[in-house]
Amino acid sequence: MSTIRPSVLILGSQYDLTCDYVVARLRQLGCCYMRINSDELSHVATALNPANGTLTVHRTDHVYSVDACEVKSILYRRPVFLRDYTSSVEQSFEHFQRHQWAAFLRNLMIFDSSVWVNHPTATYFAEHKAVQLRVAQKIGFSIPATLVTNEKSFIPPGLYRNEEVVVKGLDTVMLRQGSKETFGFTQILHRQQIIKEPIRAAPAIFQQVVMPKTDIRVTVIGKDVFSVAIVSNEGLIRGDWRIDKTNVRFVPHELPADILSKCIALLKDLGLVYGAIDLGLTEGEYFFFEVNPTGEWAWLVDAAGLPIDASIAEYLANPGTNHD
Amino acid sequence: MGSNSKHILLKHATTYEQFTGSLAPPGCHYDPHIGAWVVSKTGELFVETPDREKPRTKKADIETGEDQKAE
Repeated sequence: MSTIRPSVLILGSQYDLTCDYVVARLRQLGCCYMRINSDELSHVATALNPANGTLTVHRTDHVYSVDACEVKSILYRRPVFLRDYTSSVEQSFEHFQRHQWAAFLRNLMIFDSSVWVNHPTATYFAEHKAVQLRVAQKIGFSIPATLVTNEKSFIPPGLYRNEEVVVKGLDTVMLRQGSKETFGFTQILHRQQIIKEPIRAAPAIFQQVVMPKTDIRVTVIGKDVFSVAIVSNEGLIRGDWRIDKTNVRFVPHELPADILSKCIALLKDLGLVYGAIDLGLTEGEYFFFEVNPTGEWAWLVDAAGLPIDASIAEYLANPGTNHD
Repeated sequence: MGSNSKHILLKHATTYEQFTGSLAPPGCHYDPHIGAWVVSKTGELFVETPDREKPRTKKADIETGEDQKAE
């Protein structure tokens, strides 16, 4: 049985095809890597030694010996904390198993000399929308006027534009009940709806509408920046472009130098290597909407011809060459 | 969902049937040593086959990163 000593770890799940894109590129680079999927761990034998800084994984025909001194980089594509979307009581054993393995992967933070894409603590911090907006403003981005509140009277009249306001969740709005799933897209609602509908039970983000706008998706890996404009086949997009996902195109977009610099600076300030930034371009001005430390990118490789997979693989294989 | 269903965020959310199909690419198996899905007949990496169904958009795919944290 051979022993493999990887220099790159990929922490994901079996059906996360995005990881497959990175694997393909790492193989082209001749990089020694190991992919660990959270949903396979109970089928292999593992041992993590905090004092020695070692991880051992026994698969059928291979032994992987991971040493903190040898792991250059880690691609972390797992949640930094577990959400419970279901309203039904999960089988207790599966719940127990899922949480323990999730913690196991988070405990690989013992590899503290490795470059993480992204480090779980940075992701945890950066995922918070009010935090992102504040950092973005400090960096020098224009941001829409925003209030997080559960009290209607606190929403200033000036936040409404043409009697409308953006409403979205502070956290992902996702629920599961039985066979159904509910997901909350960003909405543009009328003042009268805000007046009539309750908000006291939970906070929401109320944000000034930026319209007309072109949505710009910016993917940053270290100092590599890839940008696309999201163009609807039916004119300008109101609200969340994901609602009409079959009717949009992704067109490579060149950012002005100052915006590009701000995107890089934003991630650096948030402690991130990778980030998916959502901007809105209106009348020549770029507004920052949000950054997602775990945002998806694989669809852009084919849809827009962006070599994001290559950039990530290069970064993992040579982490010292693409950042300050 | 009781009184919470009236909250403005839930009232305007979209409800749909959960996807219950297989997430495995057709004609493929997962190779744990390679760390990727492989076309069973040819041994190619699925993501390197030219005629595969490509990821379309963020929400079009069942994702395990952004929107499905904790899955």
